[in-house]
Order: sequence, then structure tokens, then C-alpha cells
Amino acid sequence: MASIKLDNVTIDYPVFDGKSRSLKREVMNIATGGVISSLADGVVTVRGLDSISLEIHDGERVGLIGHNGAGKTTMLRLLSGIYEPTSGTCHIEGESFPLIDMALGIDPDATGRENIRLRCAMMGITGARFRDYYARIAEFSELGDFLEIPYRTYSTGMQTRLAFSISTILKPDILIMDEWLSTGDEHFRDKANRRLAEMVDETNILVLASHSRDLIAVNCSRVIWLEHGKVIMDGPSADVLAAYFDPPHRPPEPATANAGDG
Amino acid sequence: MRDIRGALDKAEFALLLGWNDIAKRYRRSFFGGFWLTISMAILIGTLGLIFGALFGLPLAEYLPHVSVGLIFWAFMSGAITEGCSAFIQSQNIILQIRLPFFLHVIRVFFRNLVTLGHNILIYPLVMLIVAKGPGITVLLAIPGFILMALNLLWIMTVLSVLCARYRDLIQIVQNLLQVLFYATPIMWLPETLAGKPIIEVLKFNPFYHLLAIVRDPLTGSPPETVSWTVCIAGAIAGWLIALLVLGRSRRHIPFWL
Repeated sequence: MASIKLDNVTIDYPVFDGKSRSLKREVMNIATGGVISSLADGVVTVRGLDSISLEIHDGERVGLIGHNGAGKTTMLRLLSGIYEPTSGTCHIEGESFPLIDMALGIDPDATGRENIRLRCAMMGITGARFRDYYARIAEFSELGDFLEIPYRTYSTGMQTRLAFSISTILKPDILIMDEWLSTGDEHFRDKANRRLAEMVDETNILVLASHSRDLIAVNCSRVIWLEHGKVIMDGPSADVLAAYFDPPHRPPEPATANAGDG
Repeated sequence: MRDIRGALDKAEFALLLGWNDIAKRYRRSFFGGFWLTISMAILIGTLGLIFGALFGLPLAEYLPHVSVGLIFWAFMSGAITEGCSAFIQSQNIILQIRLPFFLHVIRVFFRNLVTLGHNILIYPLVMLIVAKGPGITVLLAIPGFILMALNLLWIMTVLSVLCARYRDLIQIVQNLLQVLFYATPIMWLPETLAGKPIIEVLKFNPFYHLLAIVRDPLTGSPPETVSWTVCIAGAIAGWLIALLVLGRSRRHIPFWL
């Protein structure tokens, strides 16, 4: 069982430039008794998510759409447990696993085998479990003896194959994806897509952010449309996708639109 | 607290990463990690001869002092300097996968421990050269080292958090360590200054005591009680601060990166 519950979640990012990140400012603030603090207190904050409340239940396949800067990445990081809300509460039941950067933590100078070891340890696979996982990863990647030589000597296709094989070995409760993973040569692509589809099928909750209408239409039953950190629309895929992608391209008027009549 | 317990559960990952950091640096060289040993040995040899002659001290007394001092100073300053950027360096991982923050500190600590492991090989060599055994006091180096490690870990934890927020601090710490190198009895012997008022001032340098509890047993003399007291008190107070700092800023760290 997995579930996600956001209650009035707001996330503010501080944006630091060279100056406001420095100690000098803080010291100056103290030294001047806070007189110039109103001028110097220049930490700009950006609102990544703005009072969002929503629930995602076990079994739901949720697509996340919105233009660049709409808050998709912030939302994915919140659901991955990386960001904590500035205000409001976020309750996540089940283990969420972000499948975003396949090559995360890969050391190009290490061999394929060492990289598998590192990445597995990062995902908490160690000891006796590791041997079993290693065999499965090695087999899926079809790299054979290449696993004994450094990753950087691999062709791009081989690198992708290894990274993909490692990244998709777990079966998480909550799967978080930013676009579909690109997966190299043709033969491997079919196999990889099958594995991804399997993963998506088996996970309790899928959250997939994408700019691709087809991708979302195929994989998601519910779509959340974010803009400026707010939920513009939340509903069945077909409805939200139509509103977002089909012109005229503007959000539907809120229900209060006809209040002027009365 | 939960962060630290979680980190210890996943310590294997930190150890692998730390080990890999060192392995990566020397992967394609013949001597590999032993370049660490070689360069440290050259440094100790050169400085030992020059400063030994300069101070007019017998080599049998001065060489062990300098070598153990330099080896452990390199360990402490390395751990602290790199500790400053523990989170900054692991930014990629932190922003993509939720792991205990203390894990990244352990990684840096272990990396420096591996380096220390290579450097410490010089110690028996030096003792052979000067034909001197440290005696039974050498066993005191074990609790001494544990205390040193505990102190380093809290310092690294606090600095890694603060440096993620205030990037200038990294430079400040580096400068401070440079000064402390001279204010700590590494190149000089505390006995040389015995009786002069300056030594009392220098004893306020916590690194004086941190180094003493490990070096003195290794060179054959039990550390002073005041050194033990300072280090134990430092470890307790420091860890309280570290837990407070980490606990209060944990949720902010990803936004600072």
C-alpha cells in the first residue's frame, strides 16, 4: 500500500547570489545593529509550490504537466523526499524512488562491476542480496566481459545499457519519473521499454512528469497541470490533456466566473 | 539523531564511495595509493633533516615527533578541509536521492582514513631508523585516536552544514588551518618552549591536545591529563552542537545546494 497526501504545501526556495550567500552580509547585519538589514536582507525567495493540497491513492498513475518553471521538478523532489515543505504537511506512505538521472553516481573510471556495486549500495542493496542483484543486472545489460573494464571505455550505447540496467533493478512502491528514459540501440530499446512498462505496472503509484502528450496518455490515468506552483487542473487524463494541449490554450475559468450574474 | 542512525545503517555505501574516491585518483599509476606514502615520506625526511638541524635536536628525538605529527596533522586538516565541502561535493546525489546527510560526512572521513592508513606505514619505519620502541604507552594511542576521530566527525558535520550555506567559510577554515599548523607543536617541540609564557597561550589551541593524545603515546610518552580532559569535553560538547545544527538545518540543506 502506498499513498501520498499533501496538505496546503508551500515550498519557497532561497535564491542566493554571491553576496547574499556570504558571511560578510550577516556580520554586517549584526555589526550595524540591523539598521541596514532592510537593505541588505536581500535573499530573494522563489515560490516553487504554492499552497497545494492533493491526495494520490494506491494504484493511481499520475501525470504531471506544465510549462518550464511551473514547479514540476520541485514537486518531484518533494515526492522523492528530498525537499521538505516550507509550510504545510506532506505525508508519504511507502518508499518512493526517483528514476530521473540514470547515470547518477556513476564513476567513469571505475569498471562496470565496481559501478554496479556502488549504485547498488546507494540503493541499499548490500551483502548477500547484492550477489543476486549483480547477476540480474549483468545479465540484463548483456555486457559480459566488458563489465571488467572501465565504464569510460564503453560506447555510448553500452553506457546507457549499464546505467539503465542498474537503475531499473528495484521495484519501488512509488515510482517517480521525469520523462521516459532514453535507451540506446534498437534491440535494447524494445527490451528496455518492456522492462520499464513492467516497472510502471508493478509500482503502487506512478508519478510521471513529461512534456509529451502521448507518453502521458499511454501511462497515466490522472493528470495534474501545474503552473506557477499552483494546480491549474486535476482530473482524468483525457480532459486535462485536452485542456492543456488543444487550443485555445488557456486555463478553464474557475467556477466563480458566473458569480457576477447574481 | 535519526539521520545519524540511518547513515550508520548505510555506512557500507559511504565506505565504498570513500574508497572509490582514493582508488580513482591513483587508478592508472604503478604505485597506486602508495604515492601517498611516498610523498609523505619525502616530506617528513626533508623537513625532519632541515628543522632537526635548525633546532639542533637529536634525530632520535625529533624525527618520530615530526613524522607522527605531520601524518596526523595531514589527516586532521584533510578531513576538516574536505569536510567543508562534504555536501557541496555530493550535491548531485543529495538532490536526487534521499539519503541521510551524515552519510556524506562519513564518506569524506573514510576517504581521509584510507589516506592515513597509507601514511601510517611510515611510522614503524621511522621507529626502526631511530632504533626506538615506544613501549607499552603505545596502547594509549587507540583511545586517543578514537577521541580524535569523534572530535573530527563533529567538526566536519558542523562545517559541512555551515559551508553549504556560507561558502566563504571554506576559505576561512583553510586559512585558519594554515595558521594552526604553526600554532600546533608539529615542527617544534613543546619542551623547547617550556617555561615561556607563550606555551600557555598555545595550549588554548584545541589541536594541540587533539594531536597530543595520539602522538605522545606513539612517541613513547603518556599524554598530559589536561589533553585528555580537553578532548573528552570537546567531543561531548561538540556532538551536542553538531546534533543541534544538523537537526535544525537538515530540511534546509537541499535548498542551499
